[in-house]
Amino acid sequence: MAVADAGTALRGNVVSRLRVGNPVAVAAFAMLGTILLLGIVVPIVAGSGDVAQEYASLLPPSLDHPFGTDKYGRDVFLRCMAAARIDIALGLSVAVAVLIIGSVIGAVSATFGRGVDAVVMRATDVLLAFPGVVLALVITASLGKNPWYAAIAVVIAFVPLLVRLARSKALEVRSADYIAAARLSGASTWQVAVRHVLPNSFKYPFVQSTLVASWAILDFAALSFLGVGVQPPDAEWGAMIAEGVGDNLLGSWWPSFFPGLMILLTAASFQVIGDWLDRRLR
Amino acid sequence: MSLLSVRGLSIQTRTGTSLVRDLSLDVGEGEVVGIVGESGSGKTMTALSLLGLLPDGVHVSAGEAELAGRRFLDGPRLLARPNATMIFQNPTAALNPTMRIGAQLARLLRFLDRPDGRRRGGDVRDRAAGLLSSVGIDDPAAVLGRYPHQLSGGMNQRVMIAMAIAARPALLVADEPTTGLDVTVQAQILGLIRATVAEHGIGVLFVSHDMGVIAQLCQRVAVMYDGEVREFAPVDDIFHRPGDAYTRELLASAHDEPLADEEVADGTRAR
Amino acid sequence: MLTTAGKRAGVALLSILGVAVLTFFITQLLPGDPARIAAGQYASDEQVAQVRATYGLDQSVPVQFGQYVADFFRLDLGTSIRTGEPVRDELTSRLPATLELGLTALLIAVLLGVGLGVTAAVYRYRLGDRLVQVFVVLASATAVFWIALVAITTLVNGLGVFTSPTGRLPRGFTPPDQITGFYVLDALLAGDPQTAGAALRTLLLPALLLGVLASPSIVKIVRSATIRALESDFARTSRSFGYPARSILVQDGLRNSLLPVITNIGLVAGFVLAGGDVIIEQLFAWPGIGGYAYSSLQENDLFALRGYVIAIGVAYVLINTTLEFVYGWADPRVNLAEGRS
Repeated sequence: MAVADAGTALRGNVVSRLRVGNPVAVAAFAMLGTILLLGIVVPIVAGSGDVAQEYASLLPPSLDHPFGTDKYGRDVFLRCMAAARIDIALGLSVAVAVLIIGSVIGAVSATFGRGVDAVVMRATDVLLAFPGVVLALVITASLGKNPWYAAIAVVIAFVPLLVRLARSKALEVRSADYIAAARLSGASTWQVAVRHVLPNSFKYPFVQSTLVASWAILDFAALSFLGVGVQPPDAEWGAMIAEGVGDNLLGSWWPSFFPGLMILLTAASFQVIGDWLDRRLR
Repeated sequence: MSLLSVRGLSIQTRTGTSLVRDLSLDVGEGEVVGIVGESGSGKTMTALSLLGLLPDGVHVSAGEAELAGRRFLDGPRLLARPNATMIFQNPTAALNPTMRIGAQLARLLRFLDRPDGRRRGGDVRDRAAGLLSSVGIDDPAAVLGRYPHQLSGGMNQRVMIAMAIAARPALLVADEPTTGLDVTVQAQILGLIRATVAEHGIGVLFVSHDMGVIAQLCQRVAVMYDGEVREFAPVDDIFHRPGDAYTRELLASAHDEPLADEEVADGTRAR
Repeated sequence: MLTTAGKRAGVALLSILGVAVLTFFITQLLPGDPARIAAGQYASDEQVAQVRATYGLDQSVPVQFGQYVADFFRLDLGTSIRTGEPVRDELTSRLPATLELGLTALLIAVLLGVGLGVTAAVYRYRLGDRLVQVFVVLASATAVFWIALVAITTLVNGLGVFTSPTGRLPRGFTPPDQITGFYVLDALLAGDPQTAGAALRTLLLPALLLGVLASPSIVKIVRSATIRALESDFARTSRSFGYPARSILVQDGLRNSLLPVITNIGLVAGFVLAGGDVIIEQLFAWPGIGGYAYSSLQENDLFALRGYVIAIGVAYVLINTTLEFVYGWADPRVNLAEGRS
């Protein structure tokens, strides 16, 4: 017992010192900030250049066109930055939506218990019986090929995950003394759920939602790649890769390479930030 | 000449925090020596250091130790594995949860057979059953087929003791082996340790925070506080003529513990 | 034992039914008119109406639902509008290809995940651990369709390490007689190592891509479980007896860290058999059910898509139910036989 305690305390000490100003997390924030800033500034400076076909087609990367041009003579860098806006905004809004919906349902389910809880659990069971992308794919296909529907589909695919997490954390909180006190002082079950259980169990779903942002960007890009999300000629990383498949097989790698790199950098940044938050808030 | 002799042992964390300072003690053959102190006093770290089991980030910074005349610890280096085994607090956690008791005993017996590569008379399972009987387990065959979580804490501690004896150690280190067990089981385990000492003539270093248990079992006691030995003396002296203010404090607080009552009564009144 | 098994089976059946019901209601919202697509672009209204009647699409939703559930219990998934073939037969004939790819990928994911997870645990908080963490972040942030393109460009077209993405065998090879449905195995059974080798080389790249991208969650779980096991009281007991490091790593570390892997395999299987699989099959012209789903999606083929989703949902439920039993068998603390949990 004493040994275990001492061991953990020591490790905690060492590791937390390592993490003060964790350079990897700082780099991730910087990366994400840079991409977002470029995504906002570049399209403004360049006007509507992301869909304009004003250059020779399939120019390899150069100083004029750092990411080259695609088969329609559009600047790939410009399109990547225009897409950054959409993809990051998508990732963040999906994460926020999933966080709010998931943690409210989870807290309510845990606080009410019994029937409500049983229904919520069976519903998440069924939804979780589909791999996320397949669920999103079918929902998008059913609603129509449109980026908004794709975003909704991604939200629906991730909500059950957050409901489960929020519920299990809320169950731990539910038995705490201050919850009993709130109940005794005459608060309704709804008030207990929203005012007491939710705020106190919010931390874990919040951390998880950072990872959801990363996964959402990947899944949304996958949906666009499969042709059910953002439609050409609009710029979106997944859709750009889909457009570049043919060129890629014929030797022009850049129209599809750079959008994928942007996905990698963005999703990785969210992952690192999520891991960092996870360790900071635990 | 003593069996175990520790001189000037100091233990530190990686960041330089001192956990144990300049500790010296010795254990004779067939003797039970207690280390008593509150949690955080460094008694468990001392016990672990002797078997090279200190957790990550903690190390021996100075001192030396000999067992049966052979030096095995010299400063930060463990020169050799001492011929010692250890039993722990929370015996259920100290056994592998995914292996049956029989498999864990077999693993140990095969490992112990390994140096000469021969089986020492009889089947491993029979030997394992024999070991369990020797620690007072009535139905060894049934226990061999069980997992640790299916047995009581007391039963698991008997298994641990059986394993510790099987290795034929010169020294047994016991770290709070009865803490968390209920009083009757505790008495049985203490009886078993006493019988083991009598039968095999081994030395025991017995770590506990419980003055009552120490009083029942030990011949000599080291009282530790904040990483230092405040007093190392025969058990009667510790209880009847405590030479250190902290020892007296410890005895006074031990007064609350039922098992300690008899032994401590005189000591506290003498104050 | 029987009652617990019965209860699990009951829950599994209910989940499968839930999957079927949910699938019906989602696909019922499909845009466009499946009958018109089936009849063809230039069909007259009468022809469309006839198709609609043929497929029962002129009935009310409750009637369609009743028919759907009845068919479902007879394992009838309807007829594909696009090809006119029974969906069940089409899925069944394509399933071995997907299973060969998916199971190989799963194997790669587990081997890689356990290997890297244990490595990270052994070198915890040190360089080896850091490097594994970098891999985990990169692999979980990589889009499968992108890395597949990069791999085709560099490894196939550039270096020629792998064969062209043209299905399960390179051009010029004939498929072996079907025994298991897995080309590599069937070719070996037929005593044709050359075809087996070609099939393996064709299989390896898509399976590697799926496996590597699916591995991070296993790495994370194995790492933390192995660290927990290696720092546990029972590993300390083993060290107190002086057991060799390898024995401690395998019997105390690995054995106890494999348990959480079992529960995680369900999620990984979802990616290698469905999510990532749809994309990989498309890019590699792999003739499995993922590619079938993609084609059905492009043409709003209601019944085919529905059949695919049900197949995946059912497979998922079956995998997870099986895993629960495997877990009960592997972890004595969750012993179904003795009714403990």
